[in-house]
Amino acid sequence: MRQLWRQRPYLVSAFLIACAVTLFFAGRLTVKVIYWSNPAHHNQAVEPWMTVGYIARSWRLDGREIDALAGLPLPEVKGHPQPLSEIAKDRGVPVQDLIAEVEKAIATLRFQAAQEAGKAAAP
Amino acid sequence: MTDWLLALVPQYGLWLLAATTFFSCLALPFPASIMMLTAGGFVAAGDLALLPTFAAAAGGGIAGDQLGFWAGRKVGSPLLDRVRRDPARDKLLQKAVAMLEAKGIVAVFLTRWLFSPLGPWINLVTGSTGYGWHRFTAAGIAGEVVWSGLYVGMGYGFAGNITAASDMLGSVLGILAGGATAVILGLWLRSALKAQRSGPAQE
Repeated sequence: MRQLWRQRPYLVSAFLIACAVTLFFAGRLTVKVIYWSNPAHHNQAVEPWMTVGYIARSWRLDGREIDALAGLPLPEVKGHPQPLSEIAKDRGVPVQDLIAEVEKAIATLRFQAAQEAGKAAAP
Repeated sequence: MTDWLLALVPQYGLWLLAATTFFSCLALPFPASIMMLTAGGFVAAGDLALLPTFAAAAGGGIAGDQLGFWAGRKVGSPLLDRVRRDPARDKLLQKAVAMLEAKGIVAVFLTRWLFSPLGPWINLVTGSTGYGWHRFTAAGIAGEVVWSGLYVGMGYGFAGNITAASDMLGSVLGILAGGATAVILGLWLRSALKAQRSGPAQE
């Protein structure tokens, strides 16, 4: 092996680097699987490019209810689903305000869902 | 720029997606993987339809490959003809062409999705060395279908969490690419070892 290293240093180093890269990604995958299997990390923070449908899917809520609570237009208004940034631009308000509205709506809906689940569980 | 592009997906969805994969296959820095993952997420949310989304992503990539290949054939091949006038270089080039003839299909297929950063360069090289168009196209289409299927599919499966999808897919592809490289180099090392044992070292 030592002789091989002396004769083909590039080949041996390339092989070792490839092994290291594989190990690195295996480690990364393990870390990510552990991280993402925690339910607390499932929900994706609301961002300007998201549509209400996307947010609803991420948080497992009903998009129509979010629309109603946050006072947002339904996808039919323009004929295509609108990202929050587009709605904010049409209204002339900062997108952060809209995100705050949506987050409030999410919190309300989650609270309601938790209460209903509690009621169903109670005898 | 990525966020700005992502916000345009629900409105211009398919064209934008096709354009992104098209330009990324020309080695331009377009965030194709994030776009495909997000489009998959929008499919899961009901904002885009699955088959057209998948077709747009794959179609853009396939068209980009063709442009690269033909650019190689029209521009690269006359350049190579000049290089060939030097006999030493001609010999090296012939070696490279022979290697492509033997392993070209696998190379084209794998550089679409597993070693995707190499894809645009393989397009140029195959085009300029006179690699067969039919074989290139068949392997290219198969590779692009795997590429877009993986990313749109992961985006769909991890609906609403493209960060998670991107983390997972990135790691898995990293393991595959690193592992495949290690195996190939390992085999090469083994044959070098064998050659060393069977006689006095020649290299």
